[in-house]
Amino acid sequence: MATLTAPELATIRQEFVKTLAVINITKLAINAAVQAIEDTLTDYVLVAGDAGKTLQQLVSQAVDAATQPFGVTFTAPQKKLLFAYWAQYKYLKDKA
Amino acid sequence: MATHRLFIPAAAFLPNLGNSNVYPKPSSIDDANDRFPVEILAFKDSGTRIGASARFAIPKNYVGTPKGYVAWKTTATSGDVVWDVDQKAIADGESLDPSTDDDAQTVTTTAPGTARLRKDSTVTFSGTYAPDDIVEVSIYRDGAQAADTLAAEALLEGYFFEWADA
Repeated sequence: MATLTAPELATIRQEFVKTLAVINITKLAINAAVQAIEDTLTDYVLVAGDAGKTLQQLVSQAVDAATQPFGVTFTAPQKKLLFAYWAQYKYLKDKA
Repeated sequence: MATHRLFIPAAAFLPNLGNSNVYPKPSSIDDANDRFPVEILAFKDSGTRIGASARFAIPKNYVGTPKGYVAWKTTATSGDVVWDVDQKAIADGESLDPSTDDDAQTVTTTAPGTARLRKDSTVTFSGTYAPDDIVEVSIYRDGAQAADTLAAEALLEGYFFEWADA
């Protein structure tokens, strides 16, 4: 499991919150959501209960599970945006 | 005994060199009504300790009970900010390039539940100050602390120094 560093999380958070009309989510919840996306895309092994689910569904349920302890539920558009910023950072950083 | 305050606006603060996570910005960028645009200082959610500095003079009627108030706002409606306030009082004949602080205080404050409300974060000082001292003050947002959970910029409006005259 790849653990994102504090600077990596800060970069993604800064981009994500710019898109929010109301920022009612804390750093901890966003960090948990981003780590859930990272874990699902890089470290997930299919379990029986997830058979037939799409990748989008797997990412969505992972984000929900990770943010539930913080009393936060990301909306579908927010999850997509967070995924986009995670992907942008992970696959476009250090690229010319 | 009376209590007095002097106000140092955010525009008087210089961000620490080489750190782009603290920067001046027009208040109009984050304000909705934008009727009184001024320059404020934005402290990003950086996950690090970031700061800016200013100077002020201790007034002639200063006796004691020094306090500091960091006046700030945010567009977020949840989360906490950890503010550090460091000060050094410098008398005539003392170094204006000090290597130590007289005061280093910290306070954690929860953002108001409504965006853009003024919030004052209070610190109580224990150092020694005297009339006509030049005080070098640094204000930091310590995003490296786990208690700093605000996922937005903390927007500094200014800083109050408070004292009693008896």
